[in-house]
Amino acid sequence: MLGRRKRRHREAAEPTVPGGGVLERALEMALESARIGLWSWDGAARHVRWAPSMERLCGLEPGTFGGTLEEAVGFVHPDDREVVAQRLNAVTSGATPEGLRYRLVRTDGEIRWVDNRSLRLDDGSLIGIAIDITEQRHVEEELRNREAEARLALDAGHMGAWRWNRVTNEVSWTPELETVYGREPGSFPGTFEAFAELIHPDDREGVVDTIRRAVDDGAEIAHEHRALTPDGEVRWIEGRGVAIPGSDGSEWIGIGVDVTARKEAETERARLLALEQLARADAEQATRELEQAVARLDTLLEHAPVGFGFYDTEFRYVRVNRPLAEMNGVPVEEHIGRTVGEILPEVWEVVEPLYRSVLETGDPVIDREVSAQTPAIPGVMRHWLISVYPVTDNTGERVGIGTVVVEITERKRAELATRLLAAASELFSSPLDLDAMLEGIVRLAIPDFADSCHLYLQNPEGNGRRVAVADVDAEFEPVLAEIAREFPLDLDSDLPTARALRSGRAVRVEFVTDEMRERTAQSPEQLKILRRHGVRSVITSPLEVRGERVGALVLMYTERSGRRYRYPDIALAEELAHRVAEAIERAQLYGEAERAREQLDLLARVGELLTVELDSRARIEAMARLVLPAFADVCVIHVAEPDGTLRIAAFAIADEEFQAQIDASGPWRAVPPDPGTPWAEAVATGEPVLVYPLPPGLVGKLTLTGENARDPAPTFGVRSILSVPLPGIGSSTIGAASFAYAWSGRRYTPDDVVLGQELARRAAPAVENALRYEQEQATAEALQRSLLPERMPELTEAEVAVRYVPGSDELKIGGDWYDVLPLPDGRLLTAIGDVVGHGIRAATSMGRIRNALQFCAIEGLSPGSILRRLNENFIALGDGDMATVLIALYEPRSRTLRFASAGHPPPLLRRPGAEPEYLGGTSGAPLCAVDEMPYPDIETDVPPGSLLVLYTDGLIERRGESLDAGLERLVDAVRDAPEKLEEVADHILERLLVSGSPDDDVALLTARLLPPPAEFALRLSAQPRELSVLRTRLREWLDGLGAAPTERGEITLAVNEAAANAIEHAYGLREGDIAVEGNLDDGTVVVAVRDFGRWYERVTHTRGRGINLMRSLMDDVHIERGLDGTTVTLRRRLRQGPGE
Amino acid sequence: MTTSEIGKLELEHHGPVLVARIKGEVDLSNVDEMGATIMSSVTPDMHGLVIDLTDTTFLGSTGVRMLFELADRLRARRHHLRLVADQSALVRRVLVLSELDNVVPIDADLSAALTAAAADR
Repeated sequence: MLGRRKRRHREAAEPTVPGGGVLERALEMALESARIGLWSWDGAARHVRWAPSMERLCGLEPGTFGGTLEEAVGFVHPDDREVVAQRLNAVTSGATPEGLRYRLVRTDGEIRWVDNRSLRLDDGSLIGIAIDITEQRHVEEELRNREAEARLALDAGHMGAWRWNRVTNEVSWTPELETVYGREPGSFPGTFEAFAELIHPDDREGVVDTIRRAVDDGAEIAHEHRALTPDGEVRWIEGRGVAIPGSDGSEWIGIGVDVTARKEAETERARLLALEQLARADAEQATRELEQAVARLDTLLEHAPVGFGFYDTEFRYVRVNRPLAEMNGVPVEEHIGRTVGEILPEVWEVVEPLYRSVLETGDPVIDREVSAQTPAIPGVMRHWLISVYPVTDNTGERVGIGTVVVEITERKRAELATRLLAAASELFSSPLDLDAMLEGIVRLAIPDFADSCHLYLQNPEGNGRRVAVADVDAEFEPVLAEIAREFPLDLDSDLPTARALRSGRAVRVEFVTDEMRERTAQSPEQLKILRRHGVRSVITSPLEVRGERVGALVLMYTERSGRRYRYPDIALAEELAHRVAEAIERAQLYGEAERAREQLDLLARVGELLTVELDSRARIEAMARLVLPAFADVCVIHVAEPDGTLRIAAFAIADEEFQAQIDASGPWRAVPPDPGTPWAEAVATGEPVLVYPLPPGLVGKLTLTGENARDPAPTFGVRSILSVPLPGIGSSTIGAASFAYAWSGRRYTPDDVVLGQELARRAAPAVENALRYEQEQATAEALQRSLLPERMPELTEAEVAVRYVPGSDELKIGGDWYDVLPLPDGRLLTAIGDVVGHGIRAATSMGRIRNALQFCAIEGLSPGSILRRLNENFIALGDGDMATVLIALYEPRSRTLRFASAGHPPPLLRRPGAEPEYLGGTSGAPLCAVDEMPYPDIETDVPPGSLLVLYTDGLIERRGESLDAGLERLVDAVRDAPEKLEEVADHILERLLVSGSPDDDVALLTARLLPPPAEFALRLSAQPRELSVLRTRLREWLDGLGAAPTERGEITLAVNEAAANAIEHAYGLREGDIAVEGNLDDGTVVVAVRDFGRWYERVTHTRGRGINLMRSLMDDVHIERGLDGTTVTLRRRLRQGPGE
Repeated sequence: MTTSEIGKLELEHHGPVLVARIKGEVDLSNVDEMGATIMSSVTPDMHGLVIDLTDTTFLGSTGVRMLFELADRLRARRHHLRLVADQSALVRRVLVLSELDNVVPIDADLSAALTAAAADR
């Protein structure tokens, strides 16, 4: 409706001034209807012109105003005349016209309030309007009255009192106060927290805070808040309170007042104000009909930095002022008749619900903050405060809405900058490590200042970079970080970051093109990712630390927000980058101070390391680790092998993950030195080599030579290497220590060379010792192993199991030995010994003793004689090492064990069915200790099946424990040893060696002594026809023993009975085996018949007859039934033994 | 005639008396066959049986068992049984140890056995 009227008027518009023509009258009518008076003042002529609207405003008939200033001022209320005169003088003498409110006294005596606004024209004259605001004043007055009424109402019962003891936290309310809060009298729980609960959540914090501050200051409590009653009604409540005098601030009393009515009145007032303003706007609308006047009036509005807009019910622009048009980036004329959605699609999305609600409900919205992009500045998020009012015509019908718009984009930007920079400063002042700090920075920038923020720290070569990435879409973060890390920036390119690093200034790319993405991507996959990420706008700022450009802070807007960086953003980006650089510098300075201190410590610690007892490999590794991270990110020690190849002796890296990879790739191979590498050069020349920057080919040569090394080897981003030779005795070089900096971003300087050389000089003796030891140990262990067979041949005299466990302390390898020699006469010699000393020499001594021992044994000497002979020989040779030896000789036929000891721990013997016992007796001194030492032989009987255990002291010795405890432990282990001999040996080691790896070497020999071989042995199948074979062979054997024919017949018969029984009863005439063994034991024939079946108990009397026969014919019949068979042992003493 | 690798059985008729001579060894492998042969050779018209063990070189409890069985069965048929075994032979000792001599009379030689057999009638 408004729109239509306006268009019609515009068609008829004709420039004119107040005072003439039809159009002037039309304007006048419009002005009058809005109670606005139009006037002009010609300062030179001192002439005042009043349009009829002005005359009418003052109660004059049109055309009756005289035109003098005095007459005009005469209408001003006497109290306001001075102010008006002052203002008029000021404006006349050149001051900028301003609005002024004053009272007019009409001809009929009525007083009207007017708001006078004026404007200076080019010719110096003034033009102005006086807006009747009496109604508005009335409204205000009425509101004040209503407030007073509301207050009265409060006194009539909308008020209650409270009392609060701060010490006990007791709060008591009068029933009236409970009513104020809409609660049942008596329901208030009586604590401060309960009170806080009743406050509207949006107001709660503020009120509690206000009260706390008032209480702290001892001031009066005064607050106002909303409260929700149980039935959902919102009430406004005002509270007041004071401390009870004399309570020392612990007790407070006060009141709570329901001020909802007043609040409603205030809202009503806002509505009335809006109506009043709309009335004025309507008047302005009318004035627009006359172009000049309209232009003048508009100018009044245009000069305010405030946008005004009026819209019809379809949200079409009816009227906009220039500031709003400029904000929107569209000329004023183009707005008219088009909708907000057409002009400002992005804004419309945000404000549509707001505008609609105002139009529908008629409730104005004040100062709503709105953010959106506009066609005027695409890609920039702008911010406004918008107030929206309903517009009604004279009949009260809503015909549209009006808006007042203030742009606050700059203010928001300033706020953002302040916030960002403050947060950044806070981040940097907390003691974080560099990585965490970088992470914090990039997080800071999103989402307000970037959709994606990357921070690079890189070296001039472009490698070894650190990257921190934050993105509004977390999914992109790892991918982007990987791209940034894996593909160093080409500094010569014209990509923004490269340009920023070259120029030292921030570079802004407002519109990122796909072509730029193509150049950034290193592969089609990356390009795909970058396109999906969709960066639209970039600012990249170089980071300059102590004059060196070490990286860049890259801020990006993507398709996510669609925003763009504008010129003003550069300053903030640069400021942020500046602070980041400062923080990095601070962190680096701190790090350097730490390192300087650590480097001083280093030399001392290398020295200390040499005094600690460690095995050689551990010592070299500890030295390599020692320099991390103070002096290197990576430390590698190469040693030169005799054939000129280089081998890595230690590889330490200050990164657990890498170290695990490295450790898994060993052991190291010796490889020919690569002349391009600094270590090869250091070894070859004996001079330190400092490499910085790394020449292009070198990185490829830093390959690992571990046997399990992966290809390609990780290169760790090494950027600087210092290799120093390890000086050996004399002028030789035994290897090189190489230090490398990688991700720490540091580099070696000539100052570092001195420290590196000093470290090498101190470490070299340890490396050299270790090398020599390593070689010697390897030889000794190989020798030891070659001398000690791990498996024994099958022997008829005894089952033997042996074990040799090298000591965990590599300094103690070698010298423990054992030996087992079957002698031609059916005896078995076992020996065990321990050469004092270790290494190759001990292993060699041991070999010599064993050779001599074998020689003596074959000569048939007794153990004691052998020891005496060995002692004499080695003393005579003059170069023998002391050694303990124990020799035990087993004679199966006589069931005796004869042994002699040269200072060795006693043998342990377990006879069948008996407790294990140490075999005592006199022990001689160790070999090569005493000249002409007698070594007595000790003899003991050993039934077949006895278990003999020989060992060296490593088995029974344990640190901090008496030897007796070890000996007892061995007895316990042997007592409950398993059946199988190999298991016996393992069982003993398991029980005696705590960690499975003793300090000292351990040699162990266990033997189960067997009876002499049977003289008669026959195995036959359980068939009746086999019996005659048995009888024939048995008779032959018995004949050979010289048995009388009667004895032969009777023994044969008895054995036959046993075998026949086995065939019949054990197998029931089925297939099976029967073993018959016969021996002449001290003149007694002993025959054992053994079957492997179970007897079938049947026809007992006949079997009994066989057994009776055996008993009648033999001296002794022993039947032993087991689960796996029966053994019948028959004994018969011959009247004439052999040799008699 | 029954023959095995180790033992041989010879049968002779001396009038109404049958003489079974076992030469060689008797053991589990041939005892059953030998016993069966002897038993089947004894006809009702005979007066008695003499088993001559003079040339028996081996006889164990299985042989003893066979002799006990023969004795039982012949007694049931009212036939007389006599054994011949050398006084000093191991076989004789086995028979005595088995207390077979309580059941069957043992003679030192065949003629004594035949004489006694004639008197048994």
